[in-house]
Amino acid sequence: MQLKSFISATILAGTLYSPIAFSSAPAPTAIINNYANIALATYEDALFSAQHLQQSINTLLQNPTPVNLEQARHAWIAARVPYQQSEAFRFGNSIVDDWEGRVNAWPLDEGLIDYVDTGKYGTESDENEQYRANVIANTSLRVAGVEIDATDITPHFIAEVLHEADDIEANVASGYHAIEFLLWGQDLNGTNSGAGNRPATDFSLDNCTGGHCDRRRDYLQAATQLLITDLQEMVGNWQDDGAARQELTAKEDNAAIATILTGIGSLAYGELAGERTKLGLMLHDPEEEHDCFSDNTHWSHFYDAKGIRNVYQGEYSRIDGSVVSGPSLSDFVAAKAAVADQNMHNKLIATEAAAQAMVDAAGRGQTFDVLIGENNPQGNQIVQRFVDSLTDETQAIENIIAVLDLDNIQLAGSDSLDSPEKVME
Amino acid sequence: MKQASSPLWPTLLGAAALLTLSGVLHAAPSELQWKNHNQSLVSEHIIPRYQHLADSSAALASSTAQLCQQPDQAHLDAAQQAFHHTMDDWQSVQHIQFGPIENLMRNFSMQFWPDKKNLIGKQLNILLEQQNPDTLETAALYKASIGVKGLPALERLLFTGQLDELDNNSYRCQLTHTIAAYIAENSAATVSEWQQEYSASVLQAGSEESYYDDHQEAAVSMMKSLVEPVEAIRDQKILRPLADAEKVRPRRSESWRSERSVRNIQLNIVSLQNLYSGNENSVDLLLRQQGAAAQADKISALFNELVTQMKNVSGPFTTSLYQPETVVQLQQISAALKQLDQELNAAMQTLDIQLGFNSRDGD
Repeated sequence: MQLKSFISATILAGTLYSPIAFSSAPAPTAIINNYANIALATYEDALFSAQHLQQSINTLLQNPTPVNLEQARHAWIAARVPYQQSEAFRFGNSIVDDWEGRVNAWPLDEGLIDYVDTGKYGTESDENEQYRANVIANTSLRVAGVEIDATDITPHFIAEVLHEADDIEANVASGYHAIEFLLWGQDLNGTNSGAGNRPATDFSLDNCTGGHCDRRRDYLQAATQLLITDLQEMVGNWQDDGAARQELTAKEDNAAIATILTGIGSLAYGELAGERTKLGLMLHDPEEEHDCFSDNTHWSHFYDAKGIRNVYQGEYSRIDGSVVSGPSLSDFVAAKAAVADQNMHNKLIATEAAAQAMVDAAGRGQTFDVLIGENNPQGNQIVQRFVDSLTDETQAIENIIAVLDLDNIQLAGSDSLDSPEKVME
Repeated sequence: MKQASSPLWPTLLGAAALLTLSGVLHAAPSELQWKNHNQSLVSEHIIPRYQHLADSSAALASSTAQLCQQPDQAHLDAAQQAFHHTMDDWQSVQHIQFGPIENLMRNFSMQFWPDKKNLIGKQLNILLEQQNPDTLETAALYKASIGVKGLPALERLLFTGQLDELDNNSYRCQLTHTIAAYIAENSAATVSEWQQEYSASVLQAGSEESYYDDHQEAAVSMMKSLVEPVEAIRDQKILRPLADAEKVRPRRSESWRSERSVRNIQLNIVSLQNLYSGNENSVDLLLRQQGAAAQADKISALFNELVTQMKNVSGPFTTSLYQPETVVQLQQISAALKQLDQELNAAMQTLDIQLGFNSRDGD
């Protein structure tokens, strides 16, 4: 406590009084430009890896063997690496936040899409009339009392008709998690070890299991194509004349810096620490993990946290090994308040270590859904440490916002501030 | 570290000079003013409300025990009434989201909502199917999912299903009682921790024993309790059920099974109003002392307007939401809440309070 007040007093003095000779801060425009370059590179990598996923899925559909299914699953996991790092750009940039629901909406009522085990899934939901619509098995469905033709499963049908049908958020028809469900199927192991185990023959025209394999193939192909189209759109948004880059660069310097900080703070706290981690810990429910079919949540969380670090330090390692880097927020803060910058670095490193502990646990068979189990106090502790480190990191960001005197900046068009929603926490 | 090991003493001197200066320039409330403010809120607002909750939830626990002994309509009615009293008291203190209510995830244990994926129903059904006698101890509930141990689970058990399911001291009835007893334990622990170490921590902010560096930092927690719920009430309790007005969603409203969604919002707003201006050394008074009487007047007027507007909303939402008149009323209330949120955020700047990120940023 004493330490904290000491730090904030020091920072305050550093900002306004500058009794120490500090190195000069990079210009905000240079930081913003580098930030946008990293966003572009990250979305390009997400697109490349999604294209690779599409090739693997085509191979699977040509020859639905267990080996080819496994390869497609690996491609999906690889595709998550850049995408999760891109989430640091989501909050604050309204163009990204408005788009995000199409590619990474979660959690989903997967019974909308395909067969489910009702013993685990249940038979109905308070909120969702399409809870078990199973569009793969049915060529029509009812939405708000209206009969809808579902004969052809196309990208357009998924995006425009099925996704968020009846305005229900849990009706997730597109994006990474819909594809994940098709590749893995439900995880029926509860809080025990093991992921979804859909057989490759669910995609076989000759030895079809699970029924309606032709429609399941159509669905997988259409959802994958849609993901690529959506990612192409976001790559375009960050190119030189792209809308997201333009929107950011049009802002006042301070407002742009505030947008960047809001983005990483909102991801760290409300979304990653709260919604995606602590909630699962309190519900002890295996469905309450971000990648619940594949049990890849540890890596998704690791790379989410990494994305925050990329943004703050102004450096991104691409999937081909090359590095995009430039003037960073860290340089900017360091020049004005070295202690606040050092504090943030420490918190980023602590968060990465806490995420790594979840990755290591998963390597020993303790995946996220096992860690959050009701009778796994040690596992719960590992997850709690990740929550705590993100909370500390958020305080470090708040501290930076305070010392840069950005807390009164109006963040126009930020969904995360204008209309957030979240479990009362 | 970019600037390693610079001598720190000039910085500290700078800080001291600056703090003295800022006291004059910003005219933000002094530490003493915040201390008095916090003290009033703790003794006049927070502790009495948690005491009410502890009392009503203890009554609920004993009422559900009697129901299991004699499961007739009269005892079910009594248990439902006791539930309503407990929920009234919870809704009147739901906005306080710091301090002992955060210990052991008590706030989420008390009420996990909204439950967008029907997890409460799912998890409760598993318990009712398994009928494991071990889960009938409150000790077991401490480590159980927040889905099965709070007021929403209790509401399902008391307000849906048939009376005969509670016969013969059934598992269902005993689970109902166990959850009520767990809520009573949590409420009693919350008020007793407030009475003891936590109020001391708030009042002695800045001392070694306190969680807080200074009185202003303690006030930030209190101000979050005033400001953040306004947007949460609007988004979750009004706009989600209202949906696009063409197709309303009553089942998205809070406590729809016990038909008290409207009453919850009424109590929330009256409670926030009390936090704002119902105590000695209130926020309202602080604003006026900072020379921001116009701001204080606006906020007071908005609270008065909202209290009146809410009185005119008819319930239950399960039927009233289908009436265009209710939709229009709720749209007006939503607009007033948005205005209140903006005014309160502006007031925080006047008072030099930085609220920071809230848990609902994101998603």
